[in-house]
Amino acid sequence: MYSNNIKKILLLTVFIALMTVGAKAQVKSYFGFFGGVSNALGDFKSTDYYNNKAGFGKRGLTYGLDGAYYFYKNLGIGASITYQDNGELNLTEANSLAAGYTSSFSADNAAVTGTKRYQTVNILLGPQYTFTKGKFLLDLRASAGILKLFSTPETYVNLYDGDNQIAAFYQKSASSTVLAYSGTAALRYKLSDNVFLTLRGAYLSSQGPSITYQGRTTNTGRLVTRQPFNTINTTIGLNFGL
Amino acid sequence: MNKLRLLTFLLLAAFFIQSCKKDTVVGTAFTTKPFQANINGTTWAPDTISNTITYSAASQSKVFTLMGTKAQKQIIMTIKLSNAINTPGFVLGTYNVDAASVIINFNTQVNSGGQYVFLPHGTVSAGSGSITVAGVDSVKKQITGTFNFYSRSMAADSTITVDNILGGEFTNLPYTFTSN
Repeated sequence: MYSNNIKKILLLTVFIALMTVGAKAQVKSYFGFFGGVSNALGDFKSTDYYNNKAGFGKRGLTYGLDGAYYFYKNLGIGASITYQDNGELNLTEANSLAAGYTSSFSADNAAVTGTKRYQTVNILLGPQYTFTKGKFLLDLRASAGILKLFSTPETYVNLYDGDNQIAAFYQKSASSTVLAYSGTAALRYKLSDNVFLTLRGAYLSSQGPSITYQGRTTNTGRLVTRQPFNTINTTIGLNFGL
Repeated sequence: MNKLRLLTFLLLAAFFIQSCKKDTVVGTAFTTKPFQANINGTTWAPDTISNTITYSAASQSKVFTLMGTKAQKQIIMTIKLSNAINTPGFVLGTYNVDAASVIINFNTQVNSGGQYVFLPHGTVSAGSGSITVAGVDSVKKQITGTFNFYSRSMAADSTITVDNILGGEFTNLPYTFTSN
């Protein structure tokens, strides 16, 4: 799955390179900022206790900086640095996890305390091709880079009379740096010669961080070893031509 | 310069908003096992269960006996009906503990002479609890009901301890029927 996506990015890059043939004018390089919402996708969004990849990710705030340098007509290299928040466990989900652990461990009852949230920054770089039509510019970019996780949700699971697990245990918050890749489409509207209003959609995917436990004595029940990360961010921003 | 100030302000404002979100949430869940009770405030669901209805032709009596054991605790409930008929069902109703035909024992596991055995932890006296048989499926041989009681014990120093067993329930609990 992961290697297939890498192949898609490479094919897209080749496609963009071919598209440069026949391009007429040099597009202006730019930088800018954006803000909007980050939406969790797929397993990252799932809230299924029995899905070990379920991330309980939410819709959250995202903002960042973005820019591109055009080195040949419509072809350039783009980069972005993006902060995004994908929420934390809510009460319904904590109750659901507690019910799952109660069942898995044949416990009489369980309490799940959720703290911390998904807070990440990604730094991505990749080739960009821009189509122009009047006052509109359409940027397509495939990029790769790093995803720095400042925190992920942490849970403290306390079981009462559970089988094979007497002590309470933690699913620890992760704060690591992992590889990520992204596909971005942005529609820019020229407000003036050097100012653009930009609507942007960015898909981000990563295998995500390894997840560790503290105090867990058995692999019974929900066991998350790696938390995949998939989001699509829809943002609005301003770009400034250089 | 104004653009940079605006950008800086927006980024700092967003970061400040995000930094304020530090909530803690606590979720709880209780077992859904068909036989459970709340013993002194803690949910208890036995993992070893014995549930029988026995008819005696000699005495024309029928005895419902439900026993559950887990984590050094054991509850045994017995209801004896006189003038009963030889069917696999049981008469619905609320049976108050009378220490004769309706008996409940609350036992705990203790070390007695090197052997771990279950012994009564106090006495469930007459009037200190009840068992309600709310439903019986004599075809599927499943019984449903509730119970609650308290067990009173006195230590050697005359200290009195009361164990409260509340919210007890058995739901569609399979039983075996024996006629002899």
